[in-house]
Amino acid sequence: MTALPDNRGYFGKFGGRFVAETLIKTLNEVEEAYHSFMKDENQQKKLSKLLSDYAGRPTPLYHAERLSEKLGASIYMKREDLVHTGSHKLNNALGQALLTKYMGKTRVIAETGAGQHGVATATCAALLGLECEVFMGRVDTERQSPNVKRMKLLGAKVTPVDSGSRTLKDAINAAMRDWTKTCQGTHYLIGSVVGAHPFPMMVRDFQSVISREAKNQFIDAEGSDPDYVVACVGGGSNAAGIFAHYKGVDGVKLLGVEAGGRSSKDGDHSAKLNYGRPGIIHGNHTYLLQTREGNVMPVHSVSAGLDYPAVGAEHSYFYESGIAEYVTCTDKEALNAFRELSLIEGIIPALESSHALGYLIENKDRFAGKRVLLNLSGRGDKDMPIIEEELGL
Amino acid sequence: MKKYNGFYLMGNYPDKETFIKSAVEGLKHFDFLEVGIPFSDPIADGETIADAAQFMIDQNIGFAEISESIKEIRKTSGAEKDIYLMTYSNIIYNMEMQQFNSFCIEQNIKGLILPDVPFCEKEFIRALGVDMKINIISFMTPESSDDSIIESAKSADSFIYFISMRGITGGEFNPDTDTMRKISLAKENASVPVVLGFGIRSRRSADTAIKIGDGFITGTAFIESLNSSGYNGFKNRLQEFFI
Repeated sequence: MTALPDNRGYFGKFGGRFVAETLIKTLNEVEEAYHSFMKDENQQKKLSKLLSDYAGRPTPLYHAERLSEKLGASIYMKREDLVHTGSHKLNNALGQALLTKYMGKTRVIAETGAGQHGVATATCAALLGLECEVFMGRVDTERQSPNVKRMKLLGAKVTPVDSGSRTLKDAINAAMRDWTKTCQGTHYLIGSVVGAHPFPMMVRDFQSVISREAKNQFIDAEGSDPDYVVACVGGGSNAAGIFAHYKGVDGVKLLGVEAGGRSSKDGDHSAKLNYGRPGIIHGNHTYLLQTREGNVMPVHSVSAGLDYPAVGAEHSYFYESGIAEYVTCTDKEALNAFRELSLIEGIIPALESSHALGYLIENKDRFAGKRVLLNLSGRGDKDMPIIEEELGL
Repeated sequence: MKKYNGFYLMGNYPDKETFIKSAVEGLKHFDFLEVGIPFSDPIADGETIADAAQFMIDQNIGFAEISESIKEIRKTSGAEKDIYLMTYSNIIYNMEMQQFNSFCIEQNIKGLILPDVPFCEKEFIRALGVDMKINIISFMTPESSDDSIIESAKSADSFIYFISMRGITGGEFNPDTDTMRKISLAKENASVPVVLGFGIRSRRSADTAIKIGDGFITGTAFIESLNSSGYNGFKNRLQEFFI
């Protein structure tokens, strides 16, 4: 793993701990417990056993032959959609849920956008006997209703959030407010590489299992590393996971795909690295879509998981230092990709992952003759209500 | 130590005139005023203040308009009364710093109260170019360790904002024994007043705060009064605290 963040939680100039003073002691405790958890052999054995027997890891690396043929490239998909609960989110939730027990806490709270992280957290809470409350923007509870039902079935309390834009950012605000009150017995199980230090580091590390597996699998399949590693970026956890072991590897180009939404106009997209500028939100200094005065701007994406105005601090660092490149894919292109993958590979991808795929399809000349590793971060069953509406099924 | 009591009002809320009138009236009794500059994602605030902030943002009112009102308040309220700006780090991050510094110095703005800037990030904000004459207020909480209370108390300017409970603005004031001990520890080590805030909404809780600390800050209660009965509501609430 890289040396960043530094001991103050900064990736270059991005990151930090911009939270209420009340939370500083808890953040220090989490950081300390995390380091000790990672060194504890028993805990690590537990985690890897759960990752294999419960989550279903390692996930396959799938060579998408028909898609490859169509695009004139060699396309491999890391099948995180096959992880138990349907997305990569469980990798981090399992790690942090074990950490919660390790710290002696009995309750977890989480935010969720698409509902995938909420489901993953509710699942781990059921598995480990923890109390669980998930905050979800009202708009998201409506467009991702199957996941709300799943969380309830798993025993979690789902609290709809009616403030602000009633989406992911407001769910994070609500969870942070709860945590400021309950931090003594509650762990805030953040689902993306966002928030105050140590969360961006912890979530990245728990997600890095994706590229730890993929790196060997790709070499076994192709005899070399890929030319491109492609992942969608909302907060950026699946991208952080698949980039982790490819950072600084010669000849490997890292591509993060942001939600281009309806257009590049303010309020029409969620592409902070493409159209935003640095600011401070949700505990870290990072790229943000904001007004001239510094208020957070309304954002849009057809995909609830990407509908977030900021991005993990490490991605801001990758962006400014050129370690990764960030591009966009519109709602329409993602929906086309959603349909395309269903039709020619028999895989229904999550709308989030469809953005990575959509970029690939729309820019096929760029990838001609190249070896591409795409992170298929989740499956699309949860998107059926919105797909019915958008594609008129 | 002389008591140091403050009150919070959201800048230009519910309208410019009511805000200025309330601020001037309040400063006849309080030692300082905290002027809130709205931010879209106020994670330290409860519903009452968060809604007030959203109301201002919806009307496109921000620092530019509020700073004009502060000039009006300064014309009437004496220089012995202090004014602080209360907002979130991203609003300061986006300020045109030279202009902001000049305004603060001309209007004798004593400091910034930034609830998402803990002690460990104060330097980051200072490095944005905030003039050294404008203090960045230190917070202490029931969660602060003894060591951090001592360290922070020694370097604090203007006053120490002791958040008397875990949680957000608008909750209930009820400090436990350990919190009272920490407040005493802060007082022993600080050369500035240790002022208690969060959850102080009545004369009774204010009296308790004055007894254990060097003063109190109240905010949500005033916003509620403004919401229900405008300036008169504010004035009645004010009287509850001081008469």
